[in-house]
This record gives sequence, C-alpha cells and structure tokens, in this order.
Amino acid sequence: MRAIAVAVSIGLVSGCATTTTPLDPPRLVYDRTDCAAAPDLMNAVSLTPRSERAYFYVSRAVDHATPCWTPDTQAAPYIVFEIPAAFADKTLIVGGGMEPHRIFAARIMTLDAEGAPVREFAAEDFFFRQGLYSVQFRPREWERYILVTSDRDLVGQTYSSIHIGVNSGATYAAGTYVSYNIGIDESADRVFSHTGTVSVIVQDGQVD
Amino acid sequence: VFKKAGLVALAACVSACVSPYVATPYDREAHTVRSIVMIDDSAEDQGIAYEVASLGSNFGLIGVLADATVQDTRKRAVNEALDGVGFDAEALLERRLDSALEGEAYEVSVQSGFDRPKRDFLVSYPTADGNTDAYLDVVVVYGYLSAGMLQPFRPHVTARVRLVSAADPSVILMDNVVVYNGMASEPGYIVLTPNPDYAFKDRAALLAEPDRLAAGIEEALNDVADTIARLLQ
Repeated sequence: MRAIAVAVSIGLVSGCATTTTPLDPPRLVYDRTDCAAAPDLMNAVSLTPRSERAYFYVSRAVDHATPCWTPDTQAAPYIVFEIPAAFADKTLIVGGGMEPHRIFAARIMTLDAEGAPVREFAAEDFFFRQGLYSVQFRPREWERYILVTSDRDLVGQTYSSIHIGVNSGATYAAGTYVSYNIGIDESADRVFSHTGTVSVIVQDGQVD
Repeated sequence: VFKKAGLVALAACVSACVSPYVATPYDREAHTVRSIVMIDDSAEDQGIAYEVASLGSNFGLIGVLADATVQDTRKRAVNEALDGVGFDAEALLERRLDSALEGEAYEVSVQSGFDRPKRDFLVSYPTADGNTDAYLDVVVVYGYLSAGMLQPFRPHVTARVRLVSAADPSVILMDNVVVYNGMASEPGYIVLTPNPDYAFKDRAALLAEPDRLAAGIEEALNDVADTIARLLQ
C-alpha cells in the first residue's frame, strides 16, 4: 500500500512538473480583412506518402497566419489537402484536433480538379475519433481536394468529455523496482475555435 | 493465472501483428439499402463490471489471483442486481436500433435463431429472400468500467457493427466500432463520452440503486444505437 502511495505521489509530481508549455486558448473571433475570395489550390498539402503505408498522418496548425478566404460575407482560415491519385483503396479521416482547451471547428468539403465543391459534410457526419472531431470517407472519382475551414456556427460551443485511461510507471522502493498502473478518469471542457490543428489520417486498406 | 498470462501474451502478440483497423464508411450515393434485417444475439447475457488498474493487479502474482476473485465477485453481484430489475441489454439495443433506423426511413426486422459462441460477426448469413437489402450484424460488450483504484465506475459499451449486402454477404457496406466510455481506441473507432450523471464510486454504490445501475447502461446502449443509425444516414 505504501509503495502504491509513493507511486501515486510520484505520478502526481511528475504530472505537474511537465506542464510547462503555455496552452493556446480558443479563438472565437476571426476578423482578418485581407482574405482571398476562393481557396488557393496551388499550395494544397499532399496526402500521398513517399511509400505506401497502412497509416499516413498529416497535421497542420491553423493560426492567424494561415491563409484565409471569404466564403460568404465573413472570413475564415482554411487548409487545402490534395487527395492521393491512387485513392481507390484509401479511407480518410479528416478533422479538428482536440487540444487541452480547444478543438478546431472543422467545416469540411471536397472539391473537384477545378476547385468546385463536390460534397460538404453535415454536422451529423462528424464524430469524435481518437482525439479528432472528424468525418470519415472514401474519396469519389471526381474528388481531388479536401477543403477544411472553420465553421462559424460551431465556434464558441463547448464540448464536455470524460476520458479514462491508465498511466504506467515504475519506482525504486525497498531495494527493488516496483512497476505500477494507475487509473485516470478526467473531465475536460473544450471550446470550438477558429484556430487549432487540422489532421488527416490516410488509411490504406491494401498495406499490412 | 497461467491461462490468464497466456491470454495477455496472446493479446499483445495479436495486437502487434494484425493489420490496423480500417473502418468502412457507408456511402449513401453508392448503395440503395432500404430493407434491413438485424441479426439477433447481439449482446452477451452478462455485463462486465471491471476495474482496470485495480489495487490487486499492482501486486504481482498473488495480487493478480486475488484481483481475479474480486473482479468475478463484483461482476456476479452487478449482474444479479441487473437481473433483479429485469434488465435485458439485447432487447433494449434492438428496440432502439429499430426505432432509430426507422427514423432514417429504413424498414427493419429482427431475425432470430443465431448464436455467437465466440462473440463475433456471423461467419455465414441467411440466404437472401429477395425482400432484404442488407443484414445488420452488431456485437456488443456492455457493463461498467472503472479506470482503476479510487476511480468511479461508469457505463461502458463497445459495439462492433457491420452492414453486409443480403445478395452477397461478402460485400461489406459499412463497418465501424463505436465505443462508449472506452479505454482502448484505434484511429477509426468512434468515441462517445459517458454521461457524468451515472458514476458510481465503488461496488457498494453500484449495487445500492439497481434501477439507476440499469438506466446508466440503457442510456449508453441508446447512445450507441443512435450513432449506428447516424452512420447509415
């Protein structure tokens, strides 16, 4: 029991000591006035890995310097991703990353080769998948790009969640190493934001 | 104990060796499913009541032995409490799936007579009768889960769900995993956060209010069923 108490104590101390990076707050107002009318496809982020792999992760930060467009009367930041040419066996997960205090309020649509919208995902299509507020889909033949921008209607809403897990560690006690597992049960409130992180996971069903 | 250790080693090997999970999203434009038959025996008769990083599991072989007894005793007591209030996870799940899918304009029926000794998807599906577009195959684990010592028990459901073509069951139209208050997750898994109202601090609290105990799992099953219906919108 004493060893566990020590372990718990060590776990708590190390947990506190490692929190040194300032946490980015959610950005609820986006007021840039120098935005383009349409997204620039020339700088699309490639989703094609150098070699075939089962999972290919691509992640980009969205901040105040990220390119922006004006889809209606109000501006929003955006990132364009280029769908792999060999898309037939690919399943994509695209979404906003869950950070300690914020989630990028992703609005996601696909575009054809000329940049015309093909489909836009509705709120009902979004789910939380391992740290991503995301949609999952298989690209269609005429889809070439994925446009991820911020959803003004979603910004400011709060997502409250509970996360459970196990922290493992070891400590030196009474002349021997003692390994331990401690259950964690954490609640968090995160606010949807104009800024944050956008991630794409390209899953290739043909690679082990 | 050795059997348990062997299973753990096997699970570690399997998880290290198998291909990563890739879900199959349902494409409404590509498929025209309207009539769905749900395959029954979706849930085990007994729910889980498991504490993951328990005190005993941190104390070597003797601790693991003692822990297994504690876990089994708790599970038995929780299931007796659920039986006492007439809780039936499978009936609740099927009823909610039926109403949620009908809300999406599907015609739904349940086909019984199946048994899943390995708690897995069916190996072979019924011969198509011409009126069924697809079979909905759902395998569910439910109950209560605590992350570990001094952490609350919360409702838990893991549902593996698959929609296969009735004309050719080798064609998978949708495949997903929905986890309510889960611990293990892969990138394709859909994660649902638990309702904080259903948190029980220990075994005594779990057993003190059987109706509330059952209501927590029922809400989790409903949430999962509604999610499955959304995946087929």
